[in-house]
Amino acid sequence: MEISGKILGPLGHLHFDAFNGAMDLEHCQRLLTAYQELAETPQVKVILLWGGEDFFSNGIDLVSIDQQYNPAILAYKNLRGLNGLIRAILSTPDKLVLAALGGPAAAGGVMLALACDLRYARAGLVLNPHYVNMGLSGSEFFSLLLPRAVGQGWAEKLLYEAQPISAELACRIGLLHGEIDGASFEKEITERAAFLAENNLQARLATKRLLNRGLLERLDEAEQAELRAMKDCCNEPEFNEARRAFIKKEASPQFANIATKGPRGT
Amino acid sequence: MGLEYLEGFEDAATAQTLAREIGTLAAKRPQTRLMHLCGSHEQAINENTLRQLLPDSVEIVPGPGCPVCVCPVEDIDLAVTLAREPGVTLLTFGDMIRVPGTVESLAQARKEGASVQVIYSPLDAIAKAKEAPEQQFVFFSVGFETTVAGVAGLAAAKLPGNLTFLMANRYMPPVLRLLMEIHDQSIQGFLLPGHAAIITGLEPYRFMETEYKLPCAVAGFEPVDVLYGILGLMRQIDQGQAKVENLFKRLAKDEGNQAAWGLINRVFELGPGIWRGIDKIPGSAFRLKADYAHLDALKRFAARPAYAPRAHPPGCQCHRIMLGEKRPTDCAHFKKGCTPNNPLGPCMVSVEGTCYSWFRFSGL
Repeated sequence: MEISGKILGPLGHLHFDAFNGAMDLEHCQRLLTAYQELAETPQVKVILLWGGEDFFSNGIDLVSIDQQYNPAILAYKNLRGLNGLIRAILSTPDKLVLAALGGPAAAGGVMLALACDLRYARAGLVLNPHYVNMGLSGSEFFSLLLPRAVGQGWAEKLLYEAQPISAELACRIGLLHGEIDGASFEKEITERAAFLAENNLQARLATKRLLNRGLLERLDEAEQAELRAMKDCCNEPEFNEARRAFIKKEASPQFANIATKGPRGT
Repeated sequence: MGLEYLEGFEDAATAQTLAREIGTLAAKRPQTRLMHLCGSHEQAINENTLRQLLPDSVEIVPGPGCPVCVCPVEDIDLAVTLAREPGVTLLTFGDMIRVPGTVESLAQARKEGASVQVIYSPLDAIAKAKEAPEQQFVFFSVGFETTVAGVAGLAAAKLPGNLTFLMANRYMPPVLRLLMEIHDQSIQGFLLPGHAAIITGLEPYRFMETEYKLPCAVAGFEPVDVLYGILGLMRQIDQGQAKVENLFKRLAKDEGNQAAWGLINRVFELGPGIWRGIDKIPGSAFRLKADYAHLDALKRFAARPAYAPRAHPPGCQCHRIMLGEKRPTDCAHFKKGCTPNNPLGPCMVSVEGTCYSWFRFSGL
């Protein structure tokens, strides 16, 4: 579970590698601390969230949750841990935050990206911006962040149909802001971030504050409503069955195919 | 001198006065949710219809404070298994024999020939063991700090060699920490259990002041005690305070009972413990220290249940009721398939269990 923060000029780079993209409670807490260090560094103007090598993030860690005496309790703590990180990102008024998705993302991992001001992905990867396949209603401020980015209609489609979507489609609907070829991914994003940091940053930050106006005031209410529903879901047999099936599938080639490419391996 | 010293703790007029003061403070805010951590508080509230004395905007949420309810099903299954061993008699308190295990309760096992006897005090265990030296006796011990003090006294005494312990005693403060970790911001204060505080004092609860900054009040169990505790919490909320306050001073000292706590710590250490259906909570189970390991029934007897534990039958909401997430009336089994005569979950067994208490006293 490697987490590393690095400051290069005006850019704060945050890499966080979690096995299978699953961020357990401790990982979320450590990542929050690392993020806060960058957020509190005046020299840093733009923060880049790089995720891990194989996955950007797949949200909470269902394996450690499954091993708990009462999975619902750890799931709840894990969700709150991830919410804390997302809340910190959304509450950063004096820096731009970029998500650089070098690998796929799912559920809370997608919402983590959606908390960022700009989101770029390696070309060809797949996102799973939904929860219901895991027997869960949704968390990580999805009820605010997803409709804000893609509109209510697309949010409904993504959440209810619960299918993987390509980065290309994600760009078309506003979930992502760009697909970048693999070979130049890091270089291109770093250059874009440097440009943002060095050109009209104050205007961009003023725009950000206006765009986010009202969002922060709604976080508490959204979090409480989402967590209440998640608590109920986490105590239902659907969650236990879906979680166990997911954990069994995780090691299979079929699942890896779905997770990285799409439902038909394309 | 505060009301906590007064003897009028059963006085109806005092209760009315306190209820009015609570009403005045409650009117200043739309809603107040307080939680208690003690089955005896829930029993006192229901027996004395205290909820009806409070304004609608004040909700008293029952917490995980019934010792019978939180006793792990794993230990009940062990107790059933040991009671079925030839030559072994299992001793326990009355409520425990009816608590559902995974397959059966102790009462059901007894009907089929298992040797189970009810005792009323830990001292009874010594008498039973001395009466039948050819028999092995296992005392299945449940309860919180107050009960474990008696067990510690017993363990530290010279015991008959045919008496051992199956320990399922739990320590309160860690479950309060768990409640805070899954806290949804809706609870504004906690009534702390007076009898547990008599032993430990206030110190183990100080983290509520420093880490979580939520009002807490140690309260006794008479109607006026409970109302006085609620009023204390309302005052703290009103004044923006977050103290651990002792409002049960006529019996509980701030520093606790050092002799009893010292004895407990001589005999027991704290380890992770399951709270039935809730979680395995670090530092919440009293375990015999190495010097007393010879008293551990699990070391003397090899028999173990032949089946995997199951905390609750499908649909049973006991664990969520104990966490304050659900009410008994939210459970589809309540008063239908689950009654005191046929309890499906542990909360319907004991007078301190929330479901039993609501069934028996609330008139719902």
